[in-house]
Amino acid sequence: MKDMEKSLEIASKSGAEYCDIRFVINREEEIQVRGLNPEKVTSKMDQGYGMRVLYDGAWGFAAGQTPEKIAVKAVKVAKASALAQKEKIVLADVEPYTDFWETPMKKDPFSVPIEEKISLLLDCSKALLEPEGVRVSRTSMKTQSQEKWFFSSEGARIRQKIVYCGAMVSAVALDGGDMQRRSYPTSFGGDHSQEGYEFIESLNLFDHCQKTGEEAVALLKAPNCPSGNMDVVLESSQLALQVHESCGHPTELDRVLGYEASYAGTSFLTPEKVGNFRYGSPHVTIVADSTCSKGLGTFGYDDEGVRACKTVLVDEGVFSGYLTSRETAYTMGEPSNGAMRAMGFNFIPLIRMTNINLMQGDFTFEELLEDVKEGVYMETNRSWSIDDKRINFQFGCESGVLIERGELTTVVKNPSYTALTPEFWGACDAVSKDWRLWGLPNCGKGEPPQSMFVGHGTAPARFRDIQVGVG
Amino acid sequence: MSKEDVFSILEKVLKATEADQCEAYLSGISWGLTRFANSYIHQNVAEDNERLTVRVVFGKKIGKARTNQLDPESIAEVVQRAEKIARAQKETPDFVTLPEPTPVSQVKGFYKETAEVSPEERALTVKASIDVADEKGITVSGAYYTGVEELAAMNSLGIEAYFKGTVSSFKINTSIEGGTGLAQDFSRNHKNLNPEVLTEKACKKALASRKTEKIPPGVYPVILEETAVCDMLGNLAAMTFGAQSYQEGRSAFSGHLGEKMVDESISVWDNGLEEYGFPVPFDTEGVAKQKVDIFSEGVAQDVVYDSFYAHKEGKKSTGHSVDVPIPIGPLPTNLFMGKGTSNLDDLISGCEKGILVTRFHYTNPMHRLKTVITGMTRDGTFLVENGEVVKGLKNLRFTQNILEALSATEGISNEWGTMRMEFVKVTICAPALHLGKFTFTGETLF
Repeated sequence: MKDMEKSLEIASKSGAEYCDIRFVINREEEIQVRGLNPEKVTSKMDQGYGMRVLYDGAWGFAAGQTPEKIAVKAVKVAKASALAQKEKIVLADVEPYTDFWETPMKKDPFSVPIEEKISLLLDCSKALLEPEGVRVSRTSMKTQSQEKWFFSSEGARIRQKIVYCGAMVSAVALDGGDMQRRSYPTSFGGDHSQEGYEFIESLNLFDHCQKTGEEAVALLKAPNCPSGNMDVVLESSQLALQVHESCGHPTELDRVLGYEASYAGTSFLTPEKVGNFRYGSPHVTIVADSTCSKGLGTFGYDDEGVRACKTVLVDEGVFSGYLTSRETAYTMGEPSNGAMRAMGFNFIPLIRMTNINLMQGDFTFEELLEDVKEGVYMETNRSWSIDDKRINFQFGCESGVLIERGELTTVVKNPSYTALTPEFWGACDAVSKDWRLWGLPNCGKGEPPQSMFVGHGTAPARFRDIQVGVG
Repeated sequence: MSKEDVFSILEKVLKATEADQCEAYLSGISWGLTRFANSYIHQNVAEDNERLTVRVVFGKKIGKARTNQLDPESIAEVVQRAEKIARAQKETPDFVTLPEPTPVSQVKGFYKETAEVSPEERALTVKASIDVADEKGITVSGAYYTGVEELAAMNSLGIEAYFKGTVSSFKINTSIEGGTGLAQDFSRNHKNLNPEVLTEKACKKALASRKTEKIPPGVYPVILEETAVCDMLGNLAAMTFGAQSYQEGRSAFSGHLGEKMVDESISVWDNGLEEYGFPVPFDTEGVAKQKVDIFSEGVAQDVVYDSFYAHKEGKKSTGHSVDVPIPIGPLPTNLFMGKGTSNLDDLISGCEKGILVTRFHYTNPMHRLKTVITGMTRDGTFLVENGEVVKGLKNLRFTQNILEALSATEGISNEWGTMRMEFVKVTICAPALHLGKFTFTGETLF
């Protein structure tokens, strides 16, 4: 790592007031089976250096294979940034740690023979196709490791190795002009966890295939979800995406300050609301926790060398804090809570969700249903959309079940719901105690676009008088 | 790198393998992106990176591996990694063969002046836009990128393809109390971008949308500006225009090719060789891009193919293999909707009552087979009455079947706007549309 030290020296001697460099090795194994075809079995390895430089209060970044070259280039880019700078960027203080951190795991997922993984996914794919009416089956598994070294001009010397894996199975049923899908354990890549292959084994994928296929077929004959205002109970993976879109993204302080205005937009959670804005009901407490076991947003240090920690974002319904970086935290007069991560060596760190968790409540699932006269229980995300201040959203789910006088009755297809974020969370009057941590491997943000792995702990919850059945 | 250097690397791959068939694909990028917000440059990046992907085939067993290290040892290692996977693989029953060579046309995609744009030049261009907006009391954000991409493919059946092109884009969002605006353009030649014109356009839009009123959700005629149409067409392409969804019965085209599905004024095609948009002469398998007519006068004509899905039907690939993180199959990559004869002002003056939409935001499918999507309006939504824009509107949520919307086409503008879906490298060029019916299902607070 002498070359990293050298590049810090080059940038500092060129006049940079701050610089950091990351060397990152990304390793990824991806298996995708479609029907009886193991269509895509790929092993990817990327590595390289990415360097950030703060020169005259302006940022520059360069990525490549030669640390000394990128040091020169990053300074050049920063000098260019200074040509259109209004105020000098200042970073909140951080202790320069020297440390090593790695994912605890029992069974390294890369050590499991690929034959075994392909066989499992093919067997699952065949089982998904068994129920008559299933037209397409899809199974997938992804394993990723990110080994990274972080050196800063302030003296930080941190090495981390993060490994996660996950999988899914999915069946699509077709009949005439309709198409319905069911997925297990959830859709869009499935569930992922920062642990070893023991996580894949715990999913018991094969045991769920028959039921997943049958549910897809049954949806074809199910009535459409009714339209109107009624109570909604959300299954925890759908709630994970709800938390992601309507709490995680709007509490990213870079978004709040306008840094993402030209892409996915800004946020309604503006700084004057901290500590006094009613985001939701007293049942709603949401935390950002990069220390919780097995989360995709768990690490020792973020990509600015800030140690992992826990921050309350919503405290019993009151908006109380942000996800921050050193740059944005300084504007609030606070230390960073360590949310900066980059997709790879060739991207700058951005504020990314860590594990954004809705804290569990006291209710059993049966108690959530108990006093619902008319409502819908919705499972597994199928569609999502939210406005550019994170206020109006609309979600579609794979499957719904009517709730009538406290009982689950009829399966309905194409369930959807829409609301305004504070009204929706304000209508939450019960969170169950069946808490589970979900891992989403594909959160998009930034220009150039970066995809990041994040975690969400959620439990099924009940929302009163919500508009359902749109479109 | 030079073409010879790149081919030398790809040849090493082909020589290193014992597989029955082998394919090597290299994609390189050397670029810079200057991003601005709150009227200053807040992110400014430069990247040099090359990725070598190797696919090997033993019978019907296929393995794929990728590296971004191009030294001889790394090239040998990536080949071995792909072979190891292939040997451990199960057979892919529907696989026939890697593609045979096809003559690859030359397209002009490289502009020396664009390749040479420096970080300073990008910063000064951004600063000029900031200064123009500052004078009007408008805050700006956006991104300006320029660079060079290098693509090459070679396979053991004789494919050899190479392309070096430049890339550029300027996007500006404007913001003033109560109003926002957007203007953007993409081109292989940065001289075509015209940031000054885009800045003025986005400022004008923000000023016009400052005072907004609510309008109840419902079904309205709409005039969708070019960016909104590009967004809608991109969604339709992902759901409908590829051979994977078509063969699986998940495309609205499945079983309906040859049928009139939208208004006869609508024609859509993909053409990787057309200089407008982002032309690339071949796909990630090295297969030459074919022009594919998708809608001709409202009639569904065809979908796009890569070699895998083409061979399943006994056809030849149309050159639309893509390498994207999602298992979506072949995709259009340089997609066009035919122009009309009116300009945007004519469309507005021909509208008795309707809603003018600058762009959509966060669109996503609700029902893929039925081509139903939802999304929000953004950066300028206006009420049109008696042929004139009369006031700004608060943003609305729509939930709409795209084919039904296109079936009610009442007017098409005579200019293309361009949008590039960066994550999947798909470029879309489309005119503005006047549609007779469009369903808005919700509203927001701004």
